[in-house]
Amino acid sequence: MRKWMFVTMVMLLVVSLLTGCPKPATPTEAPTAAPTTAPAKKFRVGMVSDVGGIDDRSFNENTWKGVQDAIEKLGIEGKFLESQAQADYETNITEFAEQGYDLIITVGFLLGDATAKMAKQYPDTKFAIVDYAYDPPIPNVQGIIFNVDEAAFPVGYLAAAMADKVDPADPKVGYVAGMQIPPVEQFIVAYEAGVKYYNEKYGKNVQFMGVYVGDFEAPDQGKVQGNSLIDEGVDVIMGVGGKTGNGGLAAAKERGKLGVGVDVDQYYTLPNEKGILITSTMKRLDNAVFGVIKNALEGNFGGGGVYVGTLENGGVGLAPFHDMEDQVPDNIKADLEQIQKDIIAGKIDTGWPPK
Amino acid sequence: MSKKDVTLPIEQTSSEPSAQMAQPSFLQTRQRLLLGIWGGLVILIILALAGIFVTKSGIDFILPLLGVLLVMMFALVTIVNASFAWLRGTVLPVLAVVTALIIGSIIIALTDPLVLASAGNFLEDPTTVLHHAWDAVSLAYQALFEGALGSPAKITAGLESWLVDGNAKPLLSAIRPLSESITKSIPYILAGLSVALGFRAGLFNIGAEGQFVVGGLSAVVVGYSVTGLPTYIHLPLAVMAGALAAGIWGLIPGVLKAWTGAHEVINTIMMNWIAFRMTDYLLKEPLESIQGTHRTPDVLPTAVLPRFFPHPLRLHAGLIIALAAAVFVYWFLWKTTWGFEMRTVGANPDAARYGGISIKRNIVLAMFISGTLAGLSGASESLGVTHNMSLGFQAGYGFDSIALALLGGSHPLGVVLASLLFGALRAGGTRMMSVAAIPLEITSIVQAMVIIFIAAPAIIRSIYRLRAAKEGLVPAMITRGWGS
Repeated sequence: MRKWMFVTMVMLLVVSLLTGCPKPATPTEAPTAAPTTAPAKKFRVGMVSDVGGIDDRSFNENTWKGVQDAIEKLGIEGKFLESQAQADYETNITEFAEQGYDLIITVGFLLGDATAKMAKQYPDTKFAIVDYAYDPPIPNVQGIIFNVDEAAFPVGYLAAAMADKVDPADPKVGYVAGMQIPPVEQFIVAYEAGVKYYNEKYGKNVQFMGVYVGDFEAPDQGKVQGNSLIDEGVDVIMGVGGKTGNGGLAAAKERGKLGVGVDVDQYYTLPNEKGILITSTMKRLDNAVFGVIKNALEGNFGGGGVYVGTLENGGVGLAPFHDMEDQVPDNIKADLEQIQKDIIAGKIDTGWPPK
Repeated sequence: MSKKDVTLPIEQTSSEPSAQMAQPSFLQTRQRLLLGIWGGLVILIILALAGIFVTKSGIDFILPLLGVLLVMMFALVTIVNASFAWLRGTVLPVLAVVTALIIGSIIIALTDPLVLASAGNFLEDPTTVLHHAWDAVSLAYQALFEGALGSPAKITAGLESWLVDGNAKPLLSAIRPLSESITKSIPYILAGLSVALGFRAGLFNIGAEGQFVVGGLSAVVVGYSVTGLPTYIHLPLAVMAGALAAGIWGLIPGVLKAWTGAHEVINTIMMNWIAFRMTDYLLKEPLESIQGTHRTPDVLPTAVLPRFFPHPLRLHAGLIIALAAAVFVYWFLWKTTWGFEMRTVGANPDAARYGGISIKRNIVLAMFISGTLAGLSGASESLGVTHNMSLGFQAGYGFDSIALALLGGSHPLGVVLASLLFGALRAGGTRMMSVAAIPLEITSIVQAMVIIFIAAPAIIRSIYRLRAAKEGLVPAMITRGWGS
């Protein structure tokens, strides 16, 4: 009895699958699909993330936001591919190139090799790579790099000032970083230089310490390391590097310490930890990527060149203090203004590149 | 649990013949009836599909494909269950995969923004919701199939241009998905064999991932640092280096288990972390090619596993290693005394000991061979695909291969087939993400579902009204628990 019911149900299912659904779908779809695809072929942009994933609330996500802005404002078509491992970089780029995408944006230093290789395979496809610049340049690749040290230096200074304010007896600033690769080290080096600058200026001894977790996708380990830093007496935690850094900030939140975000204004991307964030060291990937797409669309693709985001052109910068507005002393705010001016004028050495 | 396992088959063997004797004609007619129904249905559906194809040439090929798959599946289940006893073991895995894909489609439908947007009016306008759900699922699965197997239209067009104009490029592009699926299944086959061999010996090697990394790194190091050798010496040397290093990596937990009783599950997991962090360190300073790049130099051309075809196709000679390893594992486990002893230890260590088989020796040997296979997996990936090693080399192949070995029934042939499936899912998942913006995690969910259904076959049996398997496919691959 049950078997017969089952058989009937399956038959119904199959019949409805084959006849029921697609038939109405075709007439409804035809009018909507036709006008969008009929005009000249859309400019297609494919983005390949690194192993951090598209939802890292940090630099992959921010690059994607740049693409999304372009989808919205420039009417391009954009898709992304997440890489799970080193072996995926090449395939993912090939995937877009083979589908005839006009511009392929690869995100992150780790894709440097694969992008160069594929750019040679597909000389007619435009490429842009975030956090990388080629020497010698490749004609169909535009590099996008950021002098994040220019923004990290004042943030380090600010973090030192805040650590000194909340714990004058034993002020310490700590960082929880992802993989130890140059784009991450660039933050750390400049943070440390900023802390030192504060110590020199006010004759204090704010200490600077931290951990490279070795992974961009390990919030749990980031949290463990954050907690052990706090056990060491750290007052301000700087998260640097994807979800791992976010884990460090989560630890700071739980233990009632302060935090500093990275890459984007994390006040908006970490609703849980936003209350403890003094600021974020922003790398305006979205602006840069949007600009690169816009130029490519208008026929001014900057292949062979490099876009450099600086304090001066707004490519990097400090996020607003948000909830901490009243906590940051006025003299420190004034100092930050001055420091930024001095960095732009080249009067301050941010410590990067290391000598 | 064990009591049940023992008693069930006996009950069945005793009850089945008597039932057959009592009413043989009834059973036969029922079988014939079912066969007739399914056969008729298949013909009907194929005719209907042919009709649709002729009248509506523009219809998505996913529709017929899905329909055919569904029908074939049910037909297969019934026929196999009714007649081919030796095929019965495949019913469960196949159904598990299909059910997992169906559940995956439900998740895709439920997370589709258009479906969610229209879901509020489900009661007034259910057809719109169903349309959106159907569109989302068909787009996603079409991309999945195309990304895994290639689009038939493109392949025929490519074939045409190759035969007519002599231009092979479109054809190469068209069969890239297939090549990509197989390429991705190579490390799966080897890592899957590694875990399967462990299962057969009663060991749960969770360390395949770490052994994969160690093997990949060792192969790369030999691949770029040893110079001046011809390919036929250098390449085997690099491959063997990877296999041996990973074999030793697997040997350590084996030795610990044999002599101190430390459980291999814990120790292989720990060895994983040591492997990951050690490679991180090595890639950062000692083995770095250019300062700041965190990757090793490229392996020399003499140590690269050659690719069979030009650029877009990455299919490489690792496939030969993988298939040879599968044959070797089969031969070793079923045709040699050592393999027999190993399987005996896995099936019943007490009986093995009583029979004079050394448990210690077999544990150590099994872990060594298991590590070697996982190392070959890493070596084939690094010498065949990436050609160097950088941070982020590890791809989860070792962890996935646990599921894979379960799905393949810890049999080399099963592992190869399951690997092809996982490779196809992985390759198709990429296309699904690029075309339909479905996150890769969907394929992970499908894989996880497969494992759940394999591990709990009662679910599948109750869904599809299957009788319990007579021969113990499942018990053979379950390792002994804690403290054994």
